[in-house]
Amino acid sequence: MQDEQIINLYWARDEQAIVESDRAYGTLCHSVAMNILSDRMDAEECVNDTWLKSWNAMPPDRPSNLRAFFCRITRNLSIDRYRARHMTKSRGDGFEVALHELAECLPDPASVGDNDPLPALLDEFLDSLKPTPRKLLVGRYWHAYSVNQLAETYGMTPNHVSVTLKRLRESLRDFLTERGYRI
Amino acid sequence: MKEMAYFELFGRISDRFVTEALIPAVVPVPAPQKGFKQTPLGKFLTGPAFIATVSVLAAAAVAIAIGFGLAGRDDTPNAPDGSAFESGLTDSREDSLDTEHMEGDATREESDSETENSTERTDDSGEHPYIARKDYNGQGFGIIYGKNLMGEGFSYLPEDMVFAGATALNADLYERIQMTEDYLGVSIGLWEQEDEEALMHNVGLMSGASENDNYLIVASGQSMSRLGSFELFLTPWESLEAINTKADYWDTALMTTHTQGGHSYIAYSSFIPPNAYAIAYNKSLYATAPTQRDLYDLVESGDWTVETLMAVLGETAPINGRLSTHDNASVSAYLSAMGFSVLGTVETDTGYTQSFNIADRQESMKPLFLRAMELISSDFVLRESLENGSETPFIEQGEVLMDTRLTRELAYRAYGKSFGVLPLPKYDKAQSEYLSVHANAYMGLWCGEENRQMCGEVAELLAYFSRNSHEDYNRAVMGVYGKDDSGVQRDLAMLRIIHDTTHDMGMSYVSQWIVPGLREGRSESTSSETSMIRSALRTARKATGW
Repeated sequence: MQDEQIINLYWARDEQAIVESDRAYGTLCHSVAMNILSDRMDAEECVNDTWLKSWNAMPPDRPSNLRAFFCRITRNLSIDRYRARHMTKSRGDGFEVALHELAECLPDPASVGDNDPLPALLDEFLDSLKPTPRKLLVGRYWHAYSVNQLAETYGMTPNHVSVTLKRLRESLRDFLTERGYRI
Repeated sequence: MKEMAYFELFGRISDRFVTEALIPAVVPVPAPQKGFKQTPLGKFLTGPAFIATVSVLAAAAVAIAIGFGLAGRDDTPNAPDGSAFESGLTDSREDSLDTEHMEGDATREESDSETENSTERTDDSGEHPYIARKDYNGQGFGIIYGKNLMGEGFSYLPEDMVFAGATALNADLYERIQMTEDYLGVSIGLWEQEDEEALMHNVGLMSGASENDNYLIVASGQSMSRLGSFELFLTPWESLEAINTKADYWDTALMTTHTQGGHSYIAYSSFIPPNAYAIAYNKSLYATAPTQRDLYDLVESGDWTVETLMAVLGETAPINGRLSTHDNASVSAYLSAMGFSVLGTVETDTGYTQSFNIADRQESMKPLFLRAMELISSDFVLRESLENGSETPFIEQGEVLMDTRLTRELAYRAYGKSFGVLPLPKYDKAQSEYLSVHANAYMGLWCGEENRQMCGEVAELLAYFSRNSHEDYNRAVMGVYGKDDSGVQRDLAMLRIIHDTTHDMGMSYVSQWIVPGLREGRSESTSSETSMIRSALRTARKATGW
């Protein structure tokens, strides 16, 4: 079923929308959640919550990119769940490493308000990159793919990926520093 | 955890970057066994005695259906006496393969050794050993295929599974068709058949009895190593000189099997791994059932029998209180196991009716057949087929078990739920191995007097270009199964059992006819494949006048 049709089902308040969403994007959303949570049950619940949240969001929302729309919801839900879970214990794996890495190149989130131009600047920075480095950066810090996953996908050694990411983080930090951010 | 806020902050980038960087979720798992073991039953089913019997029955069916008298053909026995027919069949095979077709063709002989070598290569220059590139000036050529049998089972997989090889089967076949088009300068049109089994059966039967010159070559499934998921069998193939039957991408054994009196009128349906009948089960739903049985353990210990299945169904019924549904599932699965539902009565809009129930032709399948009859005559009601939409409650967590074909099973896995796969149960513990049959695949290449040379070349090139495609099947299975990171190895073990015990039922079809009712390509989907089909269809129709 085409995205437009799925959206129409949401707007028609037809519960088949959830079935079709799960059929088309269940796997994808599950992988988004798994990358963050590393727990199948938690991931499954996030995916289910994604459909609920989508049901509540459409209407009035009419996303132009349904795939990204679902991914974004799943990601946010997974972040919430991750936070709740880490009140008790740390996962201590590659994902946390990624979080630390990201902190090296972004300003303090508390200093970034809703109307801050940072998101647009991030887009500008990403636009300035070649496709592969851009996919590496987004893959690592948006989708939370592991270095090994990225290496396998893009035909690189894990070390090459790590070095590339390090340079990208430095570039991003410089880019934002030049534009007045304190990192 | 403060760092998570940075992750959240980075989440505010635009959607286009998000989708661009997506990679599918595939967990690497070891490759399944290549090739498919032929079990003793399989050997019997492809052996001369069985083949002779089936051939006679098929010929008789043709005669009855079409009204032709077989007695008038000097190569056909008058009575279905398998042993008496066997020797004659063997002789005629030798005549056909060794004398009439292969030997005496100097060009072919020269190329044989070359071909044998070339099939060892994984990917060469793309040049066929003896067919030179040529230009038929865009002349049309038609191929028909069943709706659900050309990898269609994969077509509704999510886009992000593409990397996992889920659409590799279709893509690979289309690629080879395009390579053939380029190689010969022809324009190949594809016709999709609405009812892949019923109509195609009659394509074979009716055309085989015809005496006119418009031969339809029917291709059927064998393994993934040849024409994608299809094996070419020709009617009468020996008249198509371009085909190199000695090359190892042709299955000589199957062709000889279907040769009578020097002519192979029969298109063979052998097993096609992804479409073997099996049982899917919803792992997560099953986990909530008040039963402690590990279904995979039952299979591996050889205890997965009909009685066990029925007991398990009873134990899982409290999940949703729909015991009858589960029971029906088992009945349907069991009918599939012995080939009944696969081979039910066929009716076409030509008014032709023919029963294809051949389970009663095989001693080994009789217990299954009888058991199925018991079930039919009991209180159970057959559930509707998968194609009628009864998979929906299964997918939506309403049913634990579901009879299915492996193509469907692969698709279930792509839905993001956790589905396992089981072989069809044994009749009882005395049954030595699990048994399944493959869902039949057919493909027809139109071949008239005016395009006989081209027809042979197209067939040969398609087979030649397909010789390394086995990996595509592996990729599809691996990709879809590999996405589940729990129990993958056990799933694969079940798949191997199914593959190793899946048999062709020995159905034989004679071909040389084109029946009405072929759909003129897909009209609803807007996928690129569809566009290609429709485009090719228009071209081919214009060129051939079909």
